[in-house]
Amino acid sequence: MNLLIFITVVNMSITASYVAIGVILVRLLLKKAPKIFSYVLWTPVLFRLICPFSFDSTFSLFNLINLYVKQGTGVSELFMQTPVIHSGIGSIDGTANISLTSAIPAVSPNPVQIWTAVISPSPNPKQIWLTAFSLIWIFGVITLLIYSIVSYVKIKGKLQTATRVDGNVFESDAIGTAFIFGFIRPKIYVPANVEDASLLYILEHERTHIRRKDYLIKLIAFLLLILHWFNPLIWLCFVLMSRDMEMSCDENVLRKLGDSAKVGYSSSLLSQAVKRKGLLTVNPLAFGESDVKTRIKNILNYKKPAFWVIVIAVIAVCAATIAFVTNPSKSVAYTSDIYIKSP
Amino acid sequence: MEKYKLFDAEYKFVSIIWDNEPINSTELVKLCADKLGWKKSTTYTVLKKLCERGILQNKDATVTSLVKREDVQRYESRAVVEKTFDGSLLKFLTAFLSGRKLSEQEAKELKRIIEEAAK
Repeated sequence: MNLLIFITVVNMSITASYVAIGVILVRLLLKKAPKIFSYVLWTPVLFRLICPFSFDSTFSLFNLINLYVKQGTGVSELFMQTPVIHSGIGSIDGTANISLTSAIPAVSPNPVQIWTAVISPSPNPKQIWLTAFSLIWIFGVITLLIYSIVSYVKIKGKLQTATRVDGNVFESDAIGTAFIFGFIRPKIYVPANVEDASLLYILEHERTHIRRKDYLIKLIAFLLLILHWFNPLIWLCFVLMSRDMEMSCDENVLRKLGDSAKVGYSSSLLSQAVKRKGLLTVNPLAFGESDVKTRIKNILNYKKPAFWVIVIAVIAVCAATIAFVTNPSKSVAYTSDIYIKSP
Repeated sequence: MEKYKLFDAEYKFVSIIWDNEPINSTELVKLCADKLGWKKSTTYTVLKKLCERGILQNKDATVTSLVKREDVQRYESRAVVEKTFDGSLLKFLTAFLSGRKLSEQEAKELKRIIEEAAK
């Protein structure tokens, strides 16, 4: 059971890695577009990290990868190894394999080889390795979960004595930066004694996060990051996605407050960043801010986008999402049949 | 002196007591919920901590303060002068008054305080 979950996770991770690379490339094209597009673009990665199944489409990104892999690259090895090793364990049934294959965009350079591996009898040294890896994986997940929960509880304790300023806004001198805390009834916490001028921007920013449910998205992303902790690409995705989230939130605030707010807004960001040094390291679950320099640049350069930019961005995001979310069409992916036949 | 060191939240809490003492602890819980957004347990935790430090007193569910507001203010202002202005009152006053105009009344009052202190 443990192994089955582990293999499913590894396969989702590999699939998601392809999608992530795609997203990072498309994201480069969208550099000049409003950041909300880059932010939305991460949805397929999220989907691939969480869901081992998808539906087929001829527009799938993996059709391209298949064509490429057929010419004999090593990438496919990773895809193949897991199910092969997996089949060495007695208790595996057909459904497991089906689910596996639909998780993996099938890319077999040599189906025959796999076929033999599937039917070959037990004593399989690879199986031992696999068990070892799955234990390391579980250990990592548990460690990260415990660490996160402990720091969450610690911050919660610190925030207990925060005093209400107004509505869901609380202030505390135990924190160096503003953030949102709590998932069911999220509250905004700001450092005590922030100048009123900054407070306006800080609150507008955090309220935008709450309105857009960003704190929940970040929670989901963080849990998925824990599940896929062994994949460095996913860590990169988390960082980039957080940045896109912040910058699109900044843009939202600017749209609301107008261009005249640019200078005030960025200087309030800067003063927060300076104060933060040495205080409370930011826990990903406490909704902290990141990359002040990039964000300030983005704020100062922000212009209302031209109509055609939005049109192109919408088309690009939609096309990319379809390509990234769907599996290759059956005609291109031929390996799935083989797995279903396995004993 | 460290006794008077109060965190932001603690200062606000003690301020409520200064304004309302002697106050029944149930009443205090209500006031804190209203003014600070605190849960009952938070109020009691902070109350207990400050009682242990000898800043507050809780006898028969009646809460009173053991230190005066002026004492805490004196400690706080000295701490600022010490920490930010190397203990120099002059530097502090210069910084405090720069870009700020005193009213006739305030200037007179200040003069009086300074003469008082110089005696």
